[in-house]
Amino acid sequence: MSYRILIIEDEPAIARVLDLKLRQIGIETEVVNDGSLALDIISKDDFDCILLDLILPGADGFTILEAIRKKSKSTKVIIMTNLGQSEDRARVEKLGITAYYVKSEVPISQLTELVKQILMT
Amino acid sequence: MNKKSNPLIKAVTFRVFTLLVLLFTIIIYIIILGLAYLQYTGGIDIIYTDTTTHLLITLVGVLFVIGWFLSYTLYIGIIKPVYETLNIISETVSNLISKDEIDKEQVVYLSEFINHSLFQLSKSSLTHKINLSLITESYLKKLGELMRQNEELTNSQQELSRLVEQLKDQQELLELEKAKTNAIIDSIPNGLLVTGKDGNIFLVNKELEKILGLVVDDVLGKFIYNILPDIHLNKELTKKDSENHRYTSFLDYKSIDQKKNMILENTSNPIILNNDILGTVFVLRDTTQELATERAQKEFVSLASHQLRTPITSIKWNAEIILSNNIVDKEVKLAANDIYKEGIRMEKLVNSLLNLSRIDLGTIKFNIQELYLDKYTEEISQTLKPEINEKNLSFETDIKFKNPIKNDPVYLDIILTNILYNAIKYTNTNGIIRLKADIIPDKEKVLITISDTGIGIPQSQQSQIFSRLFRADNAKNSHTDGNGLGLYVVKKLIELMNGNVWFESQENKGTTFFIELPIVINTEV
Repeated sequence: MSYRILIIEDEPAIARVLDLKLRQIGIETEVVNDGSLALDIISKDDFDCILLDLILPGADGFTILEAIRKKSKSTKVIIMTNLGQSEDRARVEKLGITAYYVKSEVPISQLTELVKQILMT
Repeated sequence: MNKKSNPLIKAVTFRVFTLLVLLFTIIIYIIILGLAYLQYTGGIDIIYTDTTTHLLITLVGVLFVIGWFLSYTLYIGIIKPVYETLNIISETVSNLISKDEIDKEQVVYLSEFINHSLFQLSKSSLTHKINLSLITESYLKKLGELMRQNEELTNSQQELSRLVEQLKDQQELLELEKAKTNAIIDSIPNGLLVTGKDGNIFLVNKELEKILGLVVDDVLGKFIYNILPDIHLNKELTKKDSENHRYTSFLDYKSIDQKKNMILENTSNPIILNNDILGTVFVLRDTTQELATERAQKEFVSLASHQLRTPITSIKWNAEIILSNNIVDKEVKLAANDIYKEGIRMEKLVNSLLNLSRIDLGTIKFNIQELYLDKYTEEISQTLKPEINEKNLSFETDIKFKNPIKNDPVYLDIILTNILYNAIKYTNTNGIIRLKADIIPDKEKVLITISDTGIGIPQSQQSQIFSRLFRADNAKNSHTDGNGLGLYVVKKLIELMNGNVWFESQENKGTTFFIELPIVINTEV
């Protein structure tokens, strides 16, 4: 079975690595670098999982997560951010997320493996 | 005073008259005695030659002698003492009148009476004079009494004057002390405001005037809420809870000209004397600039958190891409591996700096969750597996405490990862790392123990290992990549959790860290 993932990440070097590694394990990906564009895509399309950064131009990750939750309670959302403070984590956990990773602390190989596991559960 | 009734003039006149009589009597007596002598000797033939005349002359002489004696006796026995006594009275009365200490009316009355008596004396008979002397004597007694009273009054007045002088000295000292106290109060670099129990302001210092842009007269006597509406007043305090009732708050304050918005930090404390609350002391500080700087620092930390981590992530992940590519040359992979490791080092440094800033700024807020230590420590050891495997270390866990603890997973991770990472780093190949957790009975605390068989901490440097930027000599020699912040951050975080950390170490044998944490940590940091 093929999965579709939306990668919302404004840093091109990071977005490119994520895109590459996920496609390598057979996941269909779409990358968006801007928050407002992401809102537009979410309103029109459905994904199995959304990888979401929190600091973004256009609209931040918190706003996007709210929009996702308004549309669907069940969409899997994995937060990938470099905001490591507990209050940021607590804020998104209240809205409902599947996982929260601090990008700089997780190797990409481990991250892609975790995403794969989440998609399969 | 009526001239006619002046006793002194009368007395003087009488005295002169008496002296003249005495003088006249003496002259006559001498003449008669001379004539009698000449008659007797027959040296001179005088006018009176018969015996009758001779006897008459002798009689007249004797009468003169008696007259003189009587006059002299009268003068010495009665007139002179009365005159002198009255003179003393008059002088004393005059003295008394010139002083303010005794009842003037009484003295004036006495003086009038004596004057009147003297006038009577000047024209009365000897009987009257004797009576008057008796009256005068009784008044003299009274006067003596008055003089004694006057003396007592004078003594009292002297004592009073001495006391007044002492009071003046003490008042001067008090004024000096007051001036000193005011100078001290005015030199306090924070604003000081004191209210009574009713909330009315009775003391402010110069700095407060400066902060509020008001002058003392605008403030004194006013109710504090009229000056600072948002301030907390200890009015409602009871005696019991007042002991530890220091209150700190931040107030928005708009200066009187409405031009300046300020944020004031206020610390108030009740004034307690003999278990009674007398009022409240407020110490105010203009923190506007300070808070703006702090806000900028926090923003910088947040910015650094994101901005520094992003390129580190990019470096690490891209290095991983190269490392995972099978067709890449071995030398390139070695280089990519170094890039990856340096990325991890940078990441650790950034994390340590961020944690340090949060500790320094006091911005750490614990997000408490239920954590099962067995599962939680397993997850942590998983993330350290590459390093453990690389050195072929044996990692043993023994988690006896099966109930959940309540702690912040992010900060507990920082604590445990830091100590475990040190244990791995400073333990030689094939060594053993042990992680244990057990409850401390009666203490509602859990004890986590992490021990290694590593290089240990030199005895001489053990007291410094929780210091900021400190690294032990043997650690520096074996590993150059430490930043000396890890254990400092660990200790600070554990303290914020109301826990405790200590260690036992022997060089070249190993180190054991003991972490004592409350089963439920407090969210208030």
